[in-house]
Amino acid sequence: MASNQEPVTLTHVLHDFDQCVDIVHRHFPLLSADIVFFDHLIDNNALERDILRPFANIQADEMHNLLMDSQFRAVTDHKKIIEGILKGDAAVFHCTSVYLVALYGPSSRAIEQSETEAVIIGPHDAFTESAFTNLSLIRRKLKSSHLKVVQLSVGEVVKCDVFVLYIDGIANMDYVNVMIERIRDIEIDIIVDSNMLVQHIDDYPNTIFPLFLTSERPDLIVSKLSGGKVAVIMDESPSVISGPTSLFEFFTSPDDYYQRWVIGTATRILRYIAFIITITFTAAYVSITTYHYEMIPENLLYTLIESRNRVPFPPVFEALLMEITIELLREAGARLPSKIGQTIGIVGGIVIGQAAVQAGLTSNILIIAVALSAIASFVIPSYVMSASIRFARFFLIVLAGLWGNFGLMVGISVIIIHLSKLTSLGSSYITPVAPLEFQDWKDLFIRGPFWMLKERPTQSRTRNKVRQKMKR
Amino acid sequence: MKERLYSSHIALLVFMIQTGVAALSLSRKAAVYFGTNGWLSILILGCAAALNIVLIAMVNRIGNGISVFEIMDKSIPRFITIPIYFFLTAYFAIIGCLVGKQYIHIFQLIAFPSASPLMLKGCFDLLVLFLVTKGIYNIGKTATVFSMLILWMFFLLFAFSNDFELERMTPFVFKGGRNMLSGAVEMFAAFAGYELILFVMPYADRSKKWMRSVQIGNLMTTLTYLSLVFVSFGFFSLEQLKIMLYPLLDMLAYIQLPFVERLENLLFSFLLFTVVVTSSMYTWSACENAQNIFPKADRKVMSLFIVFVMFLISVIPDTLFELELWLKVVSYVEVALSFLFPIFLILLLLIQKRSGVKSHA
Amino acid sequence: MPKRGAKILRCVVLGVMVLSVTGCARSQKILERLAIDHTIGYDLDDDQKLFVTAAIINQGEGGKEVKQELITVEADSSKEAKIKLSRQTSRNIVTGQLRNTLYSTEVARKGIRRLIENLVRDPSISPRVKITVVNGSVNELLSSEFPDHPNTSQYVDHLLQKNWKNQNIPQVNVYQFTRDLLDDGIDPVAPVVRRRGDNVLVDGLGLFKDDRYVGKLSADYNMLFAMSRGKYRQGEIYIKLDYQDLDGSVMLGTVSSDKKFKVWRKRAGGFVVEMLLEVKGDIMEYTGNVPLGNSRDIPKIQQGISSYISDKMERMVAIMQEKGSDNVGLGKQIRNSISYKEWKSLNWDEVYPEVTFRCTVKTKIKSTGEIMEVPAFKP
Repeated sequence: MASNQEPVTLTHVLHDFDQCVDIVHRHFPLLSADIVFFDHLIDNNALERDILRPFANIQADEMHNLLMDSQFRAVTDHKKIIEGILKGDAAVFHCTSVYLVALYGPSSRAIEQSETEAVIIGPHDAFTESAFTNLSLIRRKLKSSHLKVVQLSVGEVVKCDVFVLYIDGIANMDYVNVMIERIRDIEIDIIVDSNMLVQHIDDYPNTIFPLFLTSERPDLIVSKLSGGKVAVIMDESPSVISGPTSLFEFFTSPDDYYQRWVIGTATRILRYIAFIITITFTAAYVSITTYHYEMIPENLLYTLIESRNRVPFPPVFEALLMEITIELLREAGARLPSKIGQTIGIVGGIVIGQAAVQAGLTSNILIIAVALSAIASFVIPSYVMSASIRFARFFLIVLAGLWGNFGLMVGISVIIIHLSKLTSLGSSYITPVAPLEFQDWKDLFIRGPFWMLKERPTQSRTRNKVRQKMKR
Repeated sequence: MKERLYSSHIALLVFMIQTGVAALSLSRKAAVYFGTNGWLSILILGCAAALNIVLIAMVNRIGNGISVFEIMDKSIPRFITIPIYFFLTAYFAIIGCLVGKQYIHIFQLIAFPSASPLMLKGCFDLLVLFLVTKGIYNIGKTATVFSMLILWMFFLLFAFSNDFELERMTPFVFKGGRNMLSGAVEMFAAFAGYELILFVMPYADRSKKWMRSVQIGNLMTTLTYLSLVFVSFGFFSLEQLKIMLYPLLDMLAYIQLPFVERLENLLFSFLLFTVVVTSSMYTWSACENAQNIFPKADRKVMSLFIVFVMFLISVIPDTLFELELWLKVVSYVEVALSFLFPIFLILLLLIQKRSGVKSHA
Repeated sequence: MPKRGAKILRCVVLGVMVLSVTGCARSQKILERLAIDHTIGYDLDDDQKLFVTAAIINQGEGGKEVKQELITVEADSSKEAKIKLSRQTSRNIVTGQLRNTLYSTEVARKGIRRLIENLVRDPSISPRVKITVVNGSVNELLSSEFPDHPNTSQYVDHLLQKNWKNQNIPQVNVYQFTRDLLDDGIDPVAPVVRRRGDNVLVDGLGLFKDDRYVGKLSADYNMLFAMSRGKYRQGEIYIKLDYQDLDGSVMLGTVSSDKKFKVWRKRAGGFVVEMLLEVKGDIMEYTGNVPLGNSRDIPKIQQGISSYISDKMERMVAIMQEKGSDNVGLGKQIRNSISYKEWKSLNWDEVYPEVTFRCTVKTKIKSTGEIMEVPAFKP
């Protein structure tokens, strides 16, 4: 009897979820109602509160009145019903009408510390995979009605929610519109993570440099938003995108602002030194030992000759060998659980390094150079940027091996020319340098004291430039 | 969001076009042609360049910032302009390639005596091509970054304070020199490059400030050269300066740091930045001219073609002597051109102004 | 979507890149495959031919200790020597790390212009390469073994370096030598070293007239010469007092000096050059009879020091004038005080010995050390 009364849509829906064992279908014969949902997508308390308890307390004739309640949204489109169920709604079938009840509340990761962007002082919370949690993390820090959130969805086969955030009155609407447009223009079956999303919306898909900052830290994103930038949250991804971005933003870290400005400045300069070391140190070793022996000071000359003496390869190969070894160690360490990762570090770093020198495969000075530039590369706060820079280093090493200092400079020129071409959301990627905006330098190359940081970055092109007016 | 050439870009771009390998031999030329206290000649030359820029500014002012080609095409028939453009294309391409070739030659002299210059030049030309195809805005941006990497070298001049002696300069002014006039023209080549701004005009930020920034760029060049030549006159003795091929290189070689010495070839490689910009800007101007001959050609293919031709031209002079000779000849033409061309354009504009009300300016 | 132009561009770039990989292998100078020249020495042999000794940093096959190796050859010029030398070693001889060049007095007497010129010409040679005269045979000096210093060429180099740092001798390298050689108002100098027993010592200062070695200034004059040449900082000077009733000696420490020149013409023609020297220092050692604690007597000691320095300075210049070499640079002072035309018409070689040189010294004693005067013992 029940099956006769079953509306057409229910069979359809159930047919669509054929072979999905995780679908739950509950039938209420007394009320002649059916509910369909995914058990693991919904909050059980909400289910109890919004559906089960009311259903238990009423008679069949009161059903219509109940369904007038606000939690029941009448839906007629079959596709919408399927989508709703997939998004964590429960579908209530009664007679010929269907209602969706939002019960979304899957078990998710708790708010934890960020592993990739740890800071020592300052807020420790990090974004999780849930977009709503992330939104709440941002809203909690930015309690303002000016913080606007635009919802978009991405993916043709599987829709994924994407939220574009900006502060009304501070953010330049050109950027917001470009961002929204680009996200809308994506036509792809599925995007899994926001780091993938970034690559679909950036200006130059073939560059090795990340054109948008992605971060797991709410405080960073909040500061970017208040600086007039646009943020993008993607559901199911813990990293949040912000843009437009300049290259130098990747060398700043939120905890620069939590320390006294002198210390913050020193740390920042240290990062730029680290950048220079990473990119040129091994290459300079190769260049000098291959072509420019005259540059070595006398005191170092003897040690260098002695250490190079037994090495059978030219310096380029020696350097590439060791650089690749270091990359192997890093990759292996990243894939393994942290405890084993440490062992890899010790085995790799100490044993291989020591043995390679003793076996005469490399000179010990090269080991120092390689290790130093690897360590320096990890000083850079953004993992994505640090990987890009390490990659660029190989290019320079090869060029240094080919043409010495000339090659090195050619390499650096190529990188700089490439960088000056890049844009992020249409604004120059190397912003405070070109176009030359000296007022930004005090907040990118150094961390100026707060009384100096009165204006928002010029890259945001905000109408609302002044950040603080305190006269002190 | 269309990118523009900001006035700061223009200043640094002009500075980067002007400075180049010529700086290496500038103090020698000042010593040979002007004799004692030849560094003063830099001031004169700087002023001459500034005057010339005023001429260019007038072209800009009268023509309301329209491009050189527009001015020319308006009143000269096409069968005359095409050979002019053709000449300019060839001429700029030749300068562009000679500048690069000279750099490569010197690099070879100090670091790679046995390497094939063609290979190095090829690599250099690739770099130029890479930059030229990015367009004028990105050349401007690149020049800005490059200039940051060059400007710090100014402080290296303080490294010579120990061996600097004012007494060495003597109280005599311009004594013991020869061929002062032709020498001045030759030295003026070190300042040349700002005339390319004529072609950049239509791309620049439309404000009056930008002509001032050309002057600032020229001022930067003048001051850099002045301090450099001044220091070398106190560092070297006059007769020594006269025999040094590239005094600046010897000065750089003299710098010693605790962890590295013989910095000349490292510091000389830094000059790559300015030479690339110089060469690229000449190539770019050549492309601009060629574009006016063949308006439909693909810009990238054309750049490739021009750079390739430049590479072929640079094969011909294969000794440093020959190269210096070529450069000398080219620099005479360049000086003449940079003064006469703006004057010609001004005349043209004035005639247009008088005869036609067509131009709505 | 890259356009057609961009595509062609990429192909070309890639092609040239691949080609260039084979590029520079020939000009590689891989560190351990080089025989690095450290010091080059020039002697004259019996036939008045150049006899070149090169001290080379040699690394030995297969990771042996880095040692110095000497190779010698007879040649007409320094570059011919290089070619001949390279026949004697398994590695490429390179001169980029050259630190020192030694010239025997015989070679220096004949003039070293050609040799220096080629040091300047070769771009691989640093302008900081030292120029040193050896009293005796260079080969003998380089091949002798000093028990405390396993590496002779390095020992000599460091010795000069240290003495230069202490301002005992002026720094003389290729750049400075050429500079003074070509300047018309000054003649170059070079330190002279000599072997003595198990040591090498700085024997004094070699005076050059143009490029020819004409004589030696004894090591006593080192400080004075340094004062006459430029600003003198943090030196030490030993002074014998012999002024009025003063006797004993003073050791002045942390001496700094500043000089000025004054030039005027003599009525009878010729020039007078006066050097005004200001010397400041602390007394480190004192053996004189006048008590130091007495502030009235300090000026007296200052005067004593002044007169000692000025006497000695004048004597030093007299030696130079006798040899015809203007190493202090009196010519420079005279040149800067007269017109260009007059300077050019001056026959400097004749005028120079007749120039009257005067030295006026003003001494200031900054302190007399950590003690007050010890009272004299009364028997």
